[in-house]
Amino acid sequence: MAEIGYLALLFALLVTLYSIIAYILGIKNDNKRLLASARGGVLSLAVLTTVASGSLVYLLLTSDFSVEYVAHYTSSYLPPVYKAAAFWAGNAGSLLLWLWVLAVIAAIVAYSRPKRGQEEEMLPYVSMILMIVALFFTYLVNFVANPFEPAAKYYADGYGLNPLLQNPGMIIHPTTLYIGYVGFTVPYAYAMTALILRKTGDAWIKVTRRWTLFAWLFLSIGIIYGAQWAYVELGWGGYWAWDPVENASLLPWLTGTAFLHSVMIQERKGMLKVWNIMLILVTFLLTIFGTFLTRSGILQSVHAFGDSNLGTYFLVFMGALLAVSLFLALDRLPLLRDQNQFESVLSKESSFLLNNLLLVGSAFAVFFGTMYPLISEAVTGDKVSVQAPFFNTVNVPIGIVLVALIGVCPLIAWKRATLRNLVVNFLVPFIATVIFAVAAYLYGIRHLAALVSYTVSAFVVFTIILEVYHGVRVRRKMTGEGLLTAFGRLFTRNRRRYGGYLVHLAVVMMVVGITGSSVYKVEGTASLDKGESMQVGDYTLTFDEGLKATIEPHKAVIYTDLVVSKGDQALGRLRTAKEAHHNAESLITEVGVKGGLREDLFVILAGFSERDYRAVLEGRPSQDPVTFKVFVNPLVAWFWLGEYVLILGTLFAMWPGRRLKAPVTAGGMKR
Amino acid sequence: MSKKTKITLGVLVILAALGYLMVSGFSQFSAYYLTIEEVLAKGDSIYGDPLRVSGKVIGDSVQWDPEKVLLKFKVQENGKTLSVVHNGVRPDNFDDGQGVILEGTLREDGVFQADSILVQCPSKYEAMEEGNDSG
Repeated sequence: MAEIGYLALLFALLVTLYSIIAYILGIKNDNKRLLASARGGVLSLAVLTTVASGSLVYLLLTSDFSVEYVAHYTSSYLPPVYKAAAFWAGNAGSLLLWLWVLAVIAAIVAYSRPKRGQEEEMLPYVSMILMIVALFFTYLVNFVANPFEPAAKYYADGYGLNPLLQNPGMIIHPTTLYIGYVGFTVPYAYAMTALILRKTGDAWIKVTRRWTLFAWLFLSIGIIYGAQWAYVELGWGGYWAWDPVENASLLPWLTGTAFLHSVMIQERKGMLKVWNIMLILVTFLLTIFGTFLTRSGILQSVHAFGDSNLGTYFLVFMGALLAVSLFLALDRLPLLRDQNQFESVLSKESSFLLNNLLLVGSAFAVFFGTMYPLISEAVTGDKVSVQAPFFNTVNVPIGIVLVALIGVCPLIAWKRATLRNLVVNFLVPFIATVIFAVAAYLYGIRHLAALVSYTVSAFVVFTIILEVYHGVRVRRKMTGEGLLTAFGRLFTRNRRRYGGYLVHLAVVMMVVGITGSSVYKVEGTASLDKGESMQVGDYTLTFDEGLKATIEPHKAVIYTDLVVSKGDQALGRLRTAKEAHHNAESLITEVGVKGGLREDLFVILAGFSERDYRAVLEGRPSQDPVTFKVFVNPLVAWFWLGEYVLILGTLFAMWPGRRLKAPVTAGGMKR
Repeated sequence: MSKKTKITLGVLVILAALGYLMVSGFSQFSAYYLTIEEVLAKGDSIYGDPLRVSGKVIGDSVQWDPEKVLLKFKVQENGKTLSVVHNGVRPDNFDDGQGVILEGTLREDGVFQADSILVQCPSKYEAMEEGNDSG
């Protein structure tokens, strides 16, 4: 089976090379048959990488330890689902996953039915660019990190999968993140094609709108799911540590989000052309950079991935991409002149501009902060790093202004907002927001950042409600529909707009969760003797049973079930544990979480004595004090809930709706 | 003032604000990466500055007081040792020779007050990965 995978990858390289050459010659000589054959090459690559991936999964599932990769990342006892997920546990498999996703996407693009004219003309170029990117990864999986490399020695059993990776997160997070990363290659390829063909209108943006949303959606899911995974698995009480690898996934999301917004301005006003090209270029490069950071190990990170010489290849590839893309953009610069200019400081256009500046500014700060150890070492010789407080200081204010903008934007008119228009539109949400702020203050929210964050969030919710209310009212007046019909049709007839509002609502839900869990987090640490209790926030936890252990074939679980109560209310027992895996030197913390919409109780079994460890494994009772670390994280669940609303909203906006004859006006509120 | 100037001014103001945020963030929160040797050599010039120091745990020196939730230990690198206290939990896998990254400050008594201890991933996965890639 390994031979099949090996050969499939080798053929994949040949096919990719052939396809690129066929595209170049086909385009040059306008040879339709050659172009069709090149397109066949794209499909072949998708088939070959599917075969390679299939054979890797087969090898993993059957525990074929004659393959180095299988022996490194799995063992025979591993549950099948994690055997399969070990696909992307290491560099070689991750790169194959990347290539596979890219190949499938490239095939979908190549076989899509373009509209006659410009779209049709662009397609061969787009496919060619996708294949050039694929070539890089095909080369890597063949010659630098080949997952089908035979084992260097005989393995009776494999090393097994890192216990931290044995979590449902391992199945969802890497795949969605990679689909998101790879998805941005499509708009990038179209942007470059637009430059090559000197078709710098908005055709490339229109064709790629769904691809961009698709990539953005998966990237969002990947990031949030990664946070959720870190929350339950890493056991330090939080979900985001501004770790280099986390930052690496956030960077393309920030610029991608900026791109998602700024293309609307080009679509409507023919402005920001250069900016959009640059944004998609940067976003695409950042997806490659993200892979590079995670896979090369140049920065210290809590996520353990080894050093490797992969880094050099990535650097060269990114350098080449940057050079060629920038050359193209500079060469075509005169064609990228905007058709319109900003007419007023107070306009929807300028609110989009501000949104973009903030998102890109945030990305720049995150990038700079992440790379600071390398930059400072190169410049001053001292290695200086910044930690979470830096990222929070910079990003919290940016985030708050961004959220406020979400609320402001729908209320401002295109082109030029008059003072009167502003007063009329803002009056109701403004008054509602002020009332909310006063109420929140009286309720006891005195922390400045929290008060501002909640007030701004409330403002956004008010404006969205108002927008929907006005939309329904206008619709009912015009069509005479019933309330529910009007409400439903308002949404389904303006999918982009109301899908967007849903996503904005999701962002607000997440902001509420993030604010609550970071500002009002309560924590306590205590060492308890058997029978003792500890108090954290309103919760009382009693350690009444002592430590216990269960011994399974490949791991031992040391645990205790604490009695939990909140005030007078008994909440039952909560298990918190540490696991000793046969293939890991360290113990793995399995936190106990009791959660609801209001807050999470998060309990870590932080430590016990060596003597007790041996005692409970031998079935004797524990006697020393056991240390627990407890967090009360308010509103965390809203962060995860927001994720689902975000998915819903994005899908709603992407869903192919009825083709409307007249363009839907997405302007400010009309009276 | 023309529209263009106004927009440009607005953009500049925002960029300046972003720049200010970054600069003040860096000046408040940057920490020097130092080796133990450098920490000892710099001595009193770095008291109280935020630092990041890496070293290997000396197994015999680890004193863990669960009652007070206080951890004392020594780290060493290239023959130089540094005493550390940490008001927190003893991390998992805190054994002799374990590589750790400490974040905190050097106290005037020469003891390093660690606010956080980052245990470098101990497992063989990393070593294996390196082996894999060279092959």
